[in-house]
Amino acid sequence: MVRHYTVNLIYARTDLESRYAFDVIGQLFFSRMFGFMKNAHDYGGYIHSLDLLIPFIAVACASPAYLRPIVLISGALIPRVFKALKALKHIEEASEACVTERKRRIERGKADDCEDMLQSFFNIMHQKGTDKDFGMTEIKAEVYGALWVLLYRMSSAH
Amino acid sequence: MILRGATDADVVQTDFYLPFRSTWSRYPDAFTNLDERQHAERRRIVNSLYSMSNILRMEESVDKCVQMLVDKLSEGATKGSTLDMSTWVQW
Repeated sequence: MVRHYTVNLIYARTDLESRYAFDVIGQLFFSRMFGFMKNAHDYGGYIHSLDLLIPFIAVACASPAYLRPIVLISGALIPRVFKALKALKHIEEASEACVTERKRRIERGKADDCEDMLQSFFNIMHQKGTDKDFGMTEIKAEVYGALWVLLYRMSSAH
Repeated sequence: MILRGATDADVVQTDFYLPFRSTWSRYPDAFTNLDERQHAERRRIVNSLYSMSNILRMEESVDKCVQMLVDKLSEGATKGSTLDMSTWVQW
């Protein structure tokens, strides 16, 4: 048993170096893990969706800008890929829901114990939001951007 | 394709990442912004959050995730089950 674990961990070393863990990002940004590890399942089917979309994303990124809509639309015509696109769209909606929920907590004065990235974005908005034109949309964009960087890094590691 | 973080300030990022850009944000995000000056301006607003000192401040949060992984690996070892590590490190 011990020998089996050791072998697997050696193979996993490259993955550990090159990928972020979804749950770590959830914990750092929202003070809660998504539940990939706890429930030992592909939360929201994100990883499976990503695997399906990688070829289309790669081809779209490498294509001239005027061909990209054609590549993406062709991909979306395949039912499995369309489903995967919807699953990834859920990431955007989920991150938006987290931002909205935190805004409500702050308004009720119940977010004093939050010390995560999301809370830091709200602090920036309160401190210099007017000066720097940094509002709710920018907070959502930061969260959305962080999740996409994570996904892209994971796809790069495949 | 040129990634951010290149030491040569004159190197321009290509439009490789544009399919990742959100359609609703008022400013292009740091990942896809092709305007170097605007990228620097917008990035400066949130730069401190991505510093090593801030990440270290949240070390306790990372510890929780490491502990969860260790607990799950121990659980697998106790049961004698096989775990696909390439999947687990993604989680």
